[in-house]
Amino acid sequence: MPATEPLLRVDDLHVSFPTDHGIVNAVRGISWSVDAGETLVIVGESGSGKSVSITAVAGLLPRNAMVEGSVRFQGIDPLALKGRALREYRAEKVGLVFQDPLTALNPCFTVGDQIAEIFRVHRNLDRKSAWTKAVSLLEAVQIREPERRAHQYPHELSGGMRQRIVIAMAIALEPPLLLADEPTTALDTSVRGEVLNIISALRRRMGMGVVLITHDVGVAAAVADRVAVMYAGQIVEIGDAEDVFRRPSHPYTRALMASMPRLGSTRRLEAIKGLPPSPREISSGCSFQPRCPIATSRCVADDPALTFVEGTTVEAACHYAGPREEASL
Amino acid sequence: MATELAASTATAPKERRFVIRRRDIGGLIAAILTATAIIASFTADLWLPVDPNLQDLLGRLAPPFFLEGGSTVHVLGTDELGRDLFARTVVGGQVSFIVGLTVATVAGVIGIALGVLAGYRRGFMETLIMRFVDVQTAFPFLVIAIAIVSIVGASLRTIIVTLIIYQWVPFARLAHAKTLTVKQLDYYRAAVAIGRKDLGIALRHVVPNILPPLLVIWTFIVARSILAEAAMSFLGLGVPPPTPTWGGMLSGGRGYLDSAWWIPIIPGVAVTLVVIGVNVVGDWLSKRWDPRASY
Repeated sequence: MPATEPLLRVDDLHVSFPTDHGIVNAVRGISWSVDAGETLVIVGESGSGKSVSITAVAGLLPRNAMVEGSVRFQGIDPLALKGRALREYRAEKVGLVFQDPLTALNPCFTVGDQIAEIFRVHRNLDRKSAWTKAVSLLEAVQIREPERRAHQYPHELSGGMRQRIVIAMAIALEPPLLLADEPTTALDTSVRGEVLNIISALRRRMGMGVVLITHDVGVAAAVADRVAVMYAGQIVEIGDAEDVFRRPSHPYTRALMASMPRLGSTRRLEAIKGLPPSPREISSGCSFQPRCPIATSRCVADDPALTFVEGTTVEAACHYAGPREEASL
Repeated sequence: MATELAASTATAPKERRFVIRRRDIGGLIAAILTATAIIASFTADLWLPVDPNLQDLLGRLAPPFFLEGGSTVHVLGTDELGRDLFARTVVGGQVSFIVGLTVATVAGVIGIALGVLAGYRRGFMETLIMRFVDVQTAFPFLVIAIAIVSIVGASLRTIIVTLIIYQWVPFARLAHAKTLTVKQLDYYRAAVAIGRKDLGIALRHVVPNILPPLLVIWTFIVARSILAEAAMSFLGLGVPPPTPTWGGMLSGGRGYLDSAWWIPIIPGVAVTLVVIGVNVVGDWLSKRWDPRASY
């Protein structure tokens, strides 16, 4: 852990939801932190709890969620906030980018109007200066002809364009932290890079911390300073992106990398056998053990904790963790 | 580039333009005709040459001008008491329009407010409101109407209040369901995430997006209320005579269907035309409202 306090620190966070079929443990004791100006990417399959952890940080968990552990954000614990303080936290501290830009914009109003609304409500600007700020924000997310675009409705814009607008709305109040939940998943491959570059450029310019969720290892490798790999509600490997991707220490990370298609490679893609465990059943031992190629009887009996791996910046939760060189990405 | 951007950012937000396209023509014609009927009905005092309540027992059951024996003195003929049918139809529209528009609008506001509240707040509030909706749906309208009228007495106000009590239900039901849909969408979550207050989110993000289908319900309720008023007047639960109403005219004329069929048919045609007109206008408006429509 660094000596200075990070921008955001999540400590042993547990989130579970009561359902008709019993309690679902979506997040089971994760810890991570992000510094100002740093990009942390959380990688994992669907259902691994990555979205839920972000939702907790954004102060958007539903009321029935049962939370343990702590979140510290510039001295604030968003999990303890209510009412006005919570609204203020959501407005000023975190910006949220959603997966699907199709539904993230209100179809009834022009995009300029929607961005201007944020300034009118939270900065008490009059219509005209709010509009001017909205248009300059569109420039900041590299939209050409911002004035003309501002007058258009969401359905008149392409997916990539809409995602830029969503980003513009998320950063409108200049929050110190940007949370992006699968921001490129719904986009064409050709515009993914642009959207990621915009996020990186804004991060550098505004010194924001960025937490980006993805299931796409390629996206993660493109933007991450640090990476956390999640599996079944837990972090199995966390460390500098370089180490995690070049010499993954956890067998799950290695399996993820092996299942990713690579240009110019004739190697057969390896799917990870089996299914992730249901969040309703917590088995003893390592949660990846039933699918793990190197599992032993020790893995069934004993759940490995995150420990530093010799010679790397990485912590991995595996009894047999150790860096393995990977072909370059 | 720099000057161009500076110039473009200086302009103010522009309002939505209203351009008439080809596919608007049907709706516009219906709107103009319906508006004309409403205006003509309410300004009848100013231009109608005949008193709609003036009886002429010697000239009773006169046919309209286009039938044999008809004359242009009574363009649409006279009823069983010799009153001018054209005048009575025009003036009778007043009650129908007042009832239809007031009931649909007030019931709409109440129903949408309660439906959005139920969908937005969930929990106890939702259960309370939606159970109320269920209970009300289970009661046949005429039973409630007869009960209320027999206690309070028949009057225009009674009819309107009775109908509002009954007609807010479809608004609430649809508004509730649509609110739940909107709450699943990311723009709702985005509004929460940016720290907006509940009322602001409801008014800005929920209501505008659920309004088009509710507008269709509104026109439908206008039509249904006009018909319900006619039905109540027909049963004697409506506006007391001699005030002309379409339902009352239908009721009074039904004994003459074989000898003077125009007495019930003319107000019946008036009801039908107005109901169709309002429906066409409503459909058109709800399409026009949707920014995604290819206008």
